[in-house]
Amino acid sequence: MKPATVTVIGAGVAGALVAYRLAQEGCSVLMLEAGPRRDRGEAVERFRRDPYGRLSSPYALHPLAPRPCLEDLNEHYLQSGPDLFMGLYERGVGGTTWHWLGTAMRMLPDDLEMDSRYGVGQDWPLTWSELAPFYEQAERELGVAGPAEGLQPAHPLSGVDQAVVEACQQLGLPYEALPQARNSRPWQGRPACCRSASCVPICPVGAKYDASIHVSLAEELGVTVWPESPVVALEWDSLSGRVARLKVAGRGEGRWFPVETVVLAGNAVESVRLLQSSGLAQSSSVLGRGLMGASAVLSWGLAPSPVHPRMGPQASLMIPSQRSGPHRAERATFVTTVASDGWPHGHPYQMAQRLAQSGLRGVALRTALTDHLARQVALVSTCEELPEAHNRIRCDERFPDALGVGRPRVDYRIGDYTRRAFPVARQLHQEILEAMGAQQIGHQEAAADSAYLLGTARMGHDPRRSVVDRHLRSHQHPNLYLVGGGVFPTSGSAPPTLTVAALALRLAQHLTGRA
Amino acid sequence: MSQRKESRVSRRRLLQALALAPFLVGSLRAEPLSELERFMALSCELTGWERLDPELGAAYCEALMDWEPSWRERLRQPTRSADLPAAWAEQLIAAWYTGTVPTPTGSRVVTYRGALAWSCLARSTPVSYCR
Repeated sequence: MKPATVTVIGAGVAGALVAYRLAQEGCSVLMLEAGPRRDRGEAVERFRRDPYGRLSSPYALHPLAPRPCLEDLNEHYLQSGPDLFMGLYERGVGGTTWHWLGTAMRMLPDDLEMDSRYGVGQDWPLTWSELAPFYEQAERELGVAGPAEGLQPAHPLSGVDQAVVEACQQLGLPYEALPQARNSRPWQGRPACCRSASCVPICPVGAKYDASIHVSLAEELGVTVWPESPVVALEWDSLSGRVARLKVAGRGEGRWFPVETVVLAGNAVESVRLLQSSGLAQSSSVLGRGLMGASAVLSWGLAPSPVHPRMGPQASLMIPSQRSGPHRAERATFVTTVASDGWPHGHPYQMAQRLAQSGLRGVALRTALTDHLARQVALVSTCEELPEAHNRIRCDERFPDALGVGRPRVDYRIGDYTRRAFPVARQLHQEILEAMGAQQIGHQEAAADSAYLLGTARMGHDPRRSVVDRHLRSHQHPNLYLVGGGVFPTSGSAPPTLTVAALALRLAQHLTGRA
Repeated sequence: MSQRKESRVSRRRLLQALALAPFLVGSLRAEPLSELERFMALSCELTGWERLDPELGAAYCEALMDWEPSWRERLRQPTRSADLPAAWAEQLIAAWYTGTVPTPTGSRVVTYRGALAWSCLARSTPVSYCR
C-alpha cells in the first residue's frame, strides 16, 4: 500500500485542522482515529438519560478507545497521586471539543515568556508575534464570536453576568466579554446558539464549534478518515531515526502500514502513551514529564434578586484583573469567569432533593426551589500550573488496556506556585459576591474536572529539555511531528484550545513548505 | 399473577385519577380509592403542584411499589402526607422532581423533560432544550 504523504493520528481539533489545511494544499492525508464517529442526536439523548448529565454521559465508551471518566478516575488512569488528576477527554471524531466550553481566548505575550520575564517555568521557543497570524486564522476557522472586534457579534450578557458587571463597576474591576467559538448568528451553515445551557457536555444544535466540522471539510477535500482505528505501535529506523511503520488495530486489523510523515495529534496523555510504549522520543528524559492540568477555585452565592442562570452559554464574561502582572514571579495567574449555569453543586435535581431533605413539602418546596434556582451565582477562577518534573504520564506496561498498550499512570501534585493563587482568587470572589449582596456565599478549592491536558511533550530549542522543536518536529525522529496541548511549555493564562488550533495551522503551513 | 402485574392500572382508571386528583384528599366517595389515586393525591400535596401527569404518576407509583413493597400496603389504606415517614415523602418528591426512580442497580430515568425541577426554572427550558 502506498502511504499517504502525511498520516495524522487523532481527529481532534489539532489533527482536524492540520489535515484540512494540508488537503487544501493538495497533500494526500490519511487520518486515523481511535474512537468512533459521534452522532449529535444520539449524544443528546444519552445525556438526557443520565440523571445528572455528567461530562462523558453523551459519549458511549468505545472498546477501542478507552478513556478516563468522572465517575471513576481510575477507569483508565492509574492515579499515583498525591493529588487526583481530573483531566478528562473524549476519543472519537472531533475529540474533546465535543464537550469543551467553547472559550476561545488567545494567550498573552508574557504567557510565552515566563522564564525571561518572571524566572519561573520556561519560555516558548516562538514569540507571540509569530503566533498572532495563526490566532487570526484559528479564530476564523472556529468562528469566534466576540469580543468587540470578533468575526461575529459577542453573545449577550446573561442575567448573572449583568449582576456581576454591576459588582465589578462598584469595585473598579475590569470585565470583558469572553471570546467564544459559538455562533451568535448563523455561520458557515451552522445555526446560532439556541441558549440550551448545555455547551458542556453537548451542544444540541452544533452552534458551538467542534472539530468534527473540520474533519468533514477535510474529507470533502479528499482526506481519508479511518475512525475506530487506534494506532497501537510505531516502529522506527534506528539509523535514520525516521518512523517507518505504524500498527493499526480495529479497522486496520492489527496490520502494519508504512508512513512518510507522521503528525501525532493525540492529547497530552494518549500521544505520550503511544510514544513511550513504542520506545520513541526517549533520548531526553522529559517525555511524559511536566504534565499540567487546571486547578480551579469555585465560589457561589445567592443573588438578592432573580438573575436567572441556565438561559444561554454557560460562560460569557470574564474578570481578567489577575491575569497578568509581577505576581507571576511568585504565584499563579488566573482568569475569573462567571458561570451562567448555576452552582457547581446546585443542579435542579440536587436542590430539589436537598430542600425536601430539609423538611420542605408542597408549595413551600416548589416556591423555595424556584427562588433558589433563579438566584444562583457562581464564579470560577482557573489557575495556571507550572511544568514540574514530578507531574508526569507514564505508560505502565504492567497494566495493559484491552489493546495491549500500557494504561497511563499519573503522578500529579498541585504545586505551591499554583496553591498560592487560591486565597487570592477566593478573596476576589468574596468581594464580588459581597458587592452583589449575595447570601449563602461558599468556596471550594479543587482540581477542576476540566479537559486541560498540557505539557508532556514540550517544545523547545534544547533537545535535552524538550521533545519537539519550534516547528513541532521531534528532536529525535525527523519525520515525526507532535501537535496538541502536550507541546505547551507552560500552561498560560488562557484555556488552551485556540492556541492548539493556532499551533496546528502553523504546523500545516510549515509542512507545506510555506513557512 | 405477580404483584407487579396486579398493580398496573388501566388508562381509563388513570384518566379518572387525573380528573379527580386535586379533589381526592378528604373527599367522600362510596368506591374506595385505588392505590394510584391515593398516590396522586399524596403527590399533589407533597410536590406543591395541583395538576400532575397521571401517566408519569403511574410510572412512579409502580416503580416505588416495586422498590419498596411497603408502599403498596400504605397505599391500600387511606393515608395523609403528614403520616408518611420522611424518607418515603422524599422518595416520592425525588421521583417527581428528578423524573428518576430507584432500581436495584441504581436508578432509572422515567422522563427528562417532565421532571418537575425543570418547571421551577422560571425563564428557561430543561438544560439541552433550545429556548
